[in-house]
Amino acid sequence: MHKEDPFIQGFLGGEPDILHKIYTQYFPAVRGYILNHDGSDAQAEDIFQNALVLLFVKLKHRKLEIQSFENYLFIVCRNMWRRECSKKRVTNVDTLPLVDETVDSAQFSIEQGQWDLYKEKFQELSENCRKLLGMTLKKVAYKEIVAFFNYSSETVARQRVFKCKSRLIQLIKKDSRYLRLKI
Amino acid sequence: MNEEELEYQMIERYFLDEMSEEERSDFEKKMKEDPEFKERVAMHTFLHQMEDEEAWPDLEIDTEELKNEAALFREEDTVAFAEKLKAFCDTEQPSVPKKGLPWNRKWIGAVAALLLLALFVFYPKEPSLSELYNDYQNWDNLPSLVTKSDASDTLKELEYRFRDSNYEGVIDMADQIHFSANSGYAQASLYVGVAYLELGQYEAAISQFDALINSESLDFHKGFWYQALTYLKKEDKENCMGVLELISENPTYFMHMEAKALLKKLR
Repeated sequence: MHKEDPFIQGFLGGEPDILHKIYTQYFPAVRGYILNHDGSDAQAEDIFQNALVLLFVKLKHRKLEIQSFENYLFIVCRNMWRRECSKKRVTNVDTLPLVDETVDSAQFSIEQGQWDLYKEKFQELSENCRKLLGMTLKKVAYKEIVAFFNYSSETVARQRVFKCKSRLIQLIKKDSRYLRLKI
Repeated sequence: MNEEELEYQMIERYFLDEMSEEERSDFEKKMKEDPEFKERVAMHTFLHQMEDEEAWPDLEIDTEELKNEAALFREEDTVAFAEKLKAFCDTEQPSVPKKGLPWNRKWIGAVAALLLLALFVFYPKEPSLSELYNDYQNWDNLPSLVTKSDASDTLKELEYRFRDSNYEGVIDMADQIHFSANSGYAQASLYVGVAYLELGQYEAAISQFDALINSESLDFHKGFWYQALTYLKKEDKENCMGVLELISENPTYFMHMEAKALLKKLR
């Protein structure tokens, strides 16, 4: 979807017809996801609203190539909620009102950008690599991986994963958008 | 296996929790001593977090970059768009279908008369400035420094003293605060300012908040709210309203809605 796409243009202009479509057709899936993951209606609405503002900023200022507005919006909402939940787990307090909202939005926006980069590079891998990494990154046991791919041994499986992961890391690091991880 | 692969297999075993106690402590020691190794490990953490539904990578982002990005969210266009969304939600909330009013004109007249009567009977007496101060003074919404893993010991000590109501102790530490654009500096200045306020040293409090407002901190605008509270405590209505007006004109400023509400009460 391009910036010149009429839907995107209407969204950026805040046209009521487009907003109506967004709220009636796209919100229910987001709401369902958040309610299923220990969130409330009010939280779902907040997340949805913040995600739309983020999309506005990204579409207006960044070269953002998205396949589908609906899918990307859902991904952003899901990631925002993941982040909210993991923040709460780490600090064990409700950090929401403590941080300046715009700075927090900016922080998430940059993080989402790194996520986009990761996904994009992941798609460049071979199908086999994608499957293999998908499983190992989700911590599926090597035993199962050996069985699933019919490898002769766990060592072979580990070597394959190593090759795929190194390739992915190489692709990510080569990209100018990659932020060095400071730890 | 080459060296790179050996290292990788080690990291993998670390993540899968397959190391003995000794191996683990060697591994963690290496991370402390070798920043490049640590970064390679971080990359693996990042990949795992990306796929882990329950995690989200916590990136430490360059202040300059964060500032530029935050500026995009503060832009007039963005703020206007956000307000448009809000207005749209309020008027056209699709989950709550709008229905016509179920009553006719006669009833509306009766209800209006009743409301008018109630307004006279129950109209609250004008609250005093000190009552308003007590309503709005809430130091719990001062951000906590302790929950941030990167908070320095000075900042942590400052917060402990503050939460202990040891305000003299907080002020004693004021010259140990160093400027930085991130939130640590702003939070520390707020503690010091509020400490002055609690001790009745209003001028010192106001200039402390002024320093924050005029700094390059991303949280500079928080200074306005606490400055308004200081004027309120001082019973300086005019200055208080001036600061509140400033906050209510900027939707992205800290306590924007509260400032609007308080301003209304003061008028």
